[in-house]
Amino acid sequence: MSEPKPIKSWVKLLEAGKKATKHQQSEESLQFPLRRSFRPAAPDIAKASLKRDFEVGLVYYVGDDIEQDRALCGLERRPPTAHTFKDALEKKRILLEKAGITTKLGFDKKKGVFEY
Amino acid sequence: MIMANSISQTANSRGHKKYGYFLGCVMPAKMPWAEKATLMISKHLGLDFEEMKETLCCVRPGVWKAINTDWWLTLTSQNLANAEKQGIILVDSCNGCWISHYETLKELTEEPAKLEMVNRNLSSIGMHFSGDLKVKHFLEVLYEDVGLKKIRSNVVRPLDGFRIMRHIGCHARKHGDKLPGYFDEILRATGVEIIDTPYDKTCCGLLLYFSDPHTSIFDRIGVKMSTAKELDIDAYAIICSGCYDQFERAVKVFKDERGISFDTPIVHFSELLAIAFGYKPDDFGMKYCRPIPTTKFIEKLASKEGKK
Amino acid sequence: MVTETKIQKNLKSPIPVPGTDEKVTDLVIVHDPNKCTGCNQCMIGCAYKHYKTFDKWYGLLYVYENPEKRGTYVNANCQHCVYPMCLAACPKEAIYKDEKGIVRISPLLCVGCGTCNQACPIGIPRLDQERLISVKCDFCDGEYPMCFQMCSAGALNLLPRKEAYEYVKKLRGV
Repeated sequence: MSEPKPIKSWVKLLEAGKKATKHQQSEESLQFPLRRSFRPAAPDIAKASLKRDFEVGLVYYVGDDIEQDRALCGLERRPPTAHTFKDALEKKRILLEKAGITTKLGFDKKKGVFEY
Repeated sequence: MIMANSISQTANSRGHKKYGYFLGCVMPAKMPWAEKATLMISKHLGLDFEEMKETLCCVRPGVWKAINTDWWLTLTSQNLANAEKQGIILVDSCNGCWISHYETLKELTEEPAKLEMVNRNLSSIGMHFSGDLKVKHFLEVLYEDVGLKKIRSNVVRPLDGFRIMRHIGCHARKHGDKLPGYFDEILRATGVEIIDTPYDKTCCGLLLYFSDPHTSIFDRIGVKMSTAKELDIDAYAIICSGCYDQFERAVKVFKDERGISFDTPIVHFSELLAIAFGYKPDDFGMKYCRPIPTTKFIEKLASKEGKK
Repeated sequence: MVTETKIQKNLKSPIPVPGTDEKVTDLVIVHDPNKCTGCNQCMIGCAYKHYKTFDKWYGLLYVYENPEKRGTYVNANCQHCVYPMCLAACPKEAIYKDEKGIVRISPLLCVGCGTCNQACPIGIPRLDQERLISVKCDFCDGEYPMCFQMCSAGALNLLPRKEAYEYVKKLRGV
């Protein structure tokens, strides 16, 4: 049985996750095949959405096109979420740091990348 | 109005005054029509209903609970503490958000050690959570607080002749069979005919997408949508915005990878309620921001109106 | 409803089996196929807990679609039996029952022959591709099992043995 063709959007998500990682584990395991591979706390596939979560506070951005659609539906252009209330996002970031989550996941806040 | 009075009385007796609707991640970005329709029907039914402010991601249980349960509790409790501060009853319509809030609240009230851990973390941002909060699913609000009788009496444009399939989602089944029952009964109150299929219970595959995209898209949601296509139904009714995200993604993937296009519109159940209450599809922007156009549905509605 | 009441989360001391010298875990995981939606969250949670990956095939329990009845799902998870077949079949005596009644595979003694996989009626032990030894469910070291925590539809239940027996009997209509 042949391998099923990978789904493009999924591959894109995985690549986005790999792009957000500083040290590539998969490359290192090619160089050192006998070394037992190290698995970071956040799997590559989840990194893209976790990064968005840290940056926006929510999983999806609200851009200009979405704002337009919202206006057409008769809503305010920006939702009353962390998209509008940046204060809540700041609090979440402090919480992420104080609870040691960013450190354990290896997330570099300044550069916006996962260390490993 | 008697019903509305009794609601505010019971709400007052708990010390809370109004409902705060938790939007979550997907609804403001991908389903503005559902957001508008929800606000419209709740206002129509006389509820003191507002969108909750300063909301963050509910902290998806599928990812965060697996990574670390304590982190999940901490991050979720920021939203809960916010809701407590705003003095509202937290209402979710996304099952993922609901289960996150419901289970966190349950765990924190049952285990004082966890509550202490959470408050230790929350103190760093100047917040405190005491557990004095009520979390409700939107279906519970409609069925228990408003009542089926009142919903039925508000239906002015019954949707009879519309054949729909429905998908409630996994998390709504976790704590008893209550919510699926409510969902069906409220839908039937609008006059639609619900078609039962073997795949009604099947998961949408959102949680599985990270792990096994093929099964998630083709074996979970693919069978649902192809059944819908075969049966030629008018709409697929959902309630969970997380599930909607996956439906939308699956439809795109099917088009890109296999060249199959599905034309069954996926509608939020509050849209069906809004239409049944006499609102026009344009009132909540039913046709905008949709990968699957709802033109067929709107045309059928218009032709039905014309016949009358 | 099982999940509504306060449940016992951790394994306590094992309970004796009447008429034998054997002991078993006091709790057991039971699957209700009528509730399962096939979301595979249990497998993903297990895979993450033990291998830090979301790839569900790393999980130590399995959920498949029922080939006889489409749209329903069947599950295979370790029951930590009274007389484990895997334990009896192991040629290296690498499988043992620990003080909580959990059936474990010693990673030091296991040679990865796969006999336990063949012997188990539901094929729970599987080969770990990296370490080339057999691995199986370890009941999350006797703590609150991840699969049960992650189950999104309440299909997995954590029950005391006696209740679990009644539950399964009721499920099968016996």
